[in-house]
Amino acid sequence: MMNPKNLTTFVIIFLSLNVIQAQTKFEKEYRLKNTSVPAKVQAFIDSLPFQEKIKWYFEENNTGNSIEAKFKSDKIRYSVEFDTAGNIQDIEKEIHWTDMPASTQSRITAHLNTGYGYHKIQKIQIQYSGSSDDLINFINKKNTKNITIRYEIIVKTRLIRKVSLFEMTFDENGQHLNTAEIRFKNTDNLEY
Amino acid sequence: MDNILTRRKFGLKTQTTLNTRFWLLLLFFGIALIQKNAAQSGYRIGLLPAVNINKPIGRGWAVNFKYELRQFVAEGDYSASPESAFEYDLSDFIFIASKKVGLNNTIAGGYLFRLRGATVTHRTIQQFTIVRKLNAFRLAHRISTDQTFEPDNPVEYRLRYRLTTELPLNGESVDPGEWYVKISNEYLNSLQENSYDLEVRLIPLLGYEFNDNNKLEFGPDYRISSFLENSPRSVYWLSVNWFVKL
Repeated sequence: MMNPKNLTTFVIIFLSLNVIQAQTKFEKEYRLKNTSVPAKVQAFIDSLPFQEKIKWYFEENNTGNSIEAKFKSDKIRYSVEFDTAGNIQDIEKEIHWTDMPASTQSRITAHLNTGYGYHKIQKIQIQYSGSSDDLINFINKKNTKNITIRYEIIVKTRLIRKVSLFEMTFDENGQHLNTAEIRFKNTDNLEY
Repeated sequence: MDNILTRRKFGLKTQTTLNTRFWLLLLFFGIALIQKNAAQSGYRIGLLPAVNINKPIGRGWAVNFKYELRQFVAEGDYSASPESAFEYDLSDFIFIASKKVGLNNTIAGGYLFRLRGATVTHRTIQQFTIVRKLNAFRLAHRISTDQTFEPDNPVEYRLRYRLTTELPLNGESVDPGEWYVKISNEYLNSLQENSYDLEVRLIPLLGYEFNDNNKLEFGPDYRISSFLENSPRSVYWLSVNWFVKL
């Protein structure tokens, strides 16, 4: 029979391994000129009811390349992602913790309380994905039919004196889908 | 290289951010203002090459070694043309151990060994750094203290604060194969046997990231001191920094 102290140690090690096994998030992006944006992408953006200045980016990450439009409207940051063929992938919007339904909050909290030690949410984005027509319908009429909603959360954690940063994805109900550890860029040239 | 190839593959053009242009403009105004105050005083021009090697040793600890050389090439005052004064000045050997405390903070302590002719200077260093990643750039605050021990001179105590901004010239973060601008502004308070002085440094550098562990930076390093009571003393360095992480 395992004594409580050993059991606690086992649980901590098991949960730490679980956290460590999360894949590493890789991202590389650079600015695009407006004239380099594919016509199909530009047409979609033009159909949105936003007049703000748009910054265009080309992004490479673990799952492939994409084109991203970023803009701010009413002090809220938006990002619209397309594949390189110009098909829309998703729309992301920065939100606050209190903007999420209470039931989603409690499921996310329950997940964070299992294995991440001390944690602090740094950023939350709500992600809407679906077909081009459905997304336009959603933006114009707030109709969520055929729209998949997910939450992307950046969380700082401290477990057994190790501080980490994770990007976690949850579904609309707060069910955990994926965790990727965010790799820190070298800061030597800013420290010395 | 991947970056360039991918851009070519998709026939895409890239763009320098407006944010960068704003910071560069601000920097040029800053330099002009300081130079105006330094008129009628002496200056020196020199080269400041440095190599900085960092080695993480686990559990958030890292060791850092820096070698820096100072070579003067000219001197004069602002009312006359500079005279050639090619003169080796000194070599610094700096050893620092650092420990990451939290996500963005580092505490560090170390020792500097300076060789200037036959004179050997010793310096103990303590520093605390905070690096923040903001939406379109990185910002670093460094607070440090040091104590300098030199033969026949009283101990010099310094309190320094440096603000550094790293601005990507392409996109929202610096990636391998990309250029960036790094601007540092540092204030050094010095106390040596009841004598106080303030030195201000402005260092706008252009950097290139070969990869995350290998970066080269170069540009002017402007320093002005003795402007509180005496006539200001300016030094213009051409700084070349090579950062390597093992």
